[in-house]
Amino acid sequence: MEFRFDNTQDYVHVVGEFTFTDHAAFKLMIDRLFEANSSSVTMDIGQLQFIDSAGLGMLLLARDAAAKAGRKLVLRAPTGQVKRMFGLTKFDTLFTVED
Amino acid sequence: MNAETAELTSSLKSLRLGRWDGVSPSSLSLALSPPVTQCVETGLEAQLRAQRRRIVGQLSLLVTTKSAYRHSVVRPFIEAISKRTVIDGDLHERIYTAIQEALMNAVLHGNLQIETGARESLEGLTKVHASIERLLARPEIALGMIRVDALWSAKMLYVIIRDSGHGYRKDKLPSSAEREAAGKLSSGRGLSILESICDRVTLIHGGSAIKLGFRL
Repeated sequence: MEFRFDNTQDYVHVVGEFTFTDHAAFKLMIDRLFEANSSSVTMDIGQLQFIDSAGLGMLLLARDAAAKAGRKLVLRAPTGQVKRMFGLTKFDTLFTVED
Repeated sequence: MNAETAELTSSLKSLRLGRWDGVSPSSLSLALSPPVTQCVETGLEAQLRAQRRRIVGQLSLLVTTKSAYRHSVVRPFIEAISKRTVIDGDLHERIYTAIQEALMNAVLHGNLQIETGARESLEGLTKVHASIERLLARPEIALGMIRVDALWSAKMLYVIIRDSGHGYRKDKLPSSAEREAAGKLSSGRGLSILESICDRVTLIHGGSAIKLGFRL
């Protein structure tokens, strides 16, 4: 998994495959995302090609960490396998997911 | 068997046996090239010899815990299957999702004995990763075996993923309702994902192996 911030601190693109072994990169990304002064932070997952159950679990942990910090985590534009995994696990009911 | 036949038999066997150096997914792709039917990572040859009679797959892969954790071994394995039988696009994605899920389960819970509950916070995950690195620094653990066998007919593909752990019982796992009640939503959904995307899922050998079936 790779990530890329736009000019703003509260919007990040997540690219590639996201599995258990990507934890360190994910933690780094979350720490930086939560440095933003916005009440809402967005993870654009339009270029994320694959996620497994551990990746889904880490997204949930990030959502909970965001809530503790008084922020809302928005997931944007899931496609392909990622979108299907969201549907399969009813993940779209646990998150704010935007098209 | 005369010397010439013995030499021919030995040469055929060596053609069907691939050896992976454990360096990268690309070197694994090469090691799995047809006509290989069994591929073993360097260091596990003795385990291959010990298990040879029990290997049932038309394509089998024996890798170490360390390599299964560090490298994407699933994609080269599926590519290798698709060089031997037809797998269409949608099925390709389902098979990859399922094998990756089962393989990581075998590594983390089977060979490394990581508790699911340890992954309930981002800080908890950091500790889990640190303990995984400590475990993988121990050769007797890093060189533990994961075996993946694939068998297929015109109608079905089966993939069996085996670890070297003690197994588990499905009825001992907390249900999704129990996990939700305990506020533990971030882990433990691997098996239900497998049951949703595979056409058949069977735990075998007391849970130290899982057999995934897909209609072709």
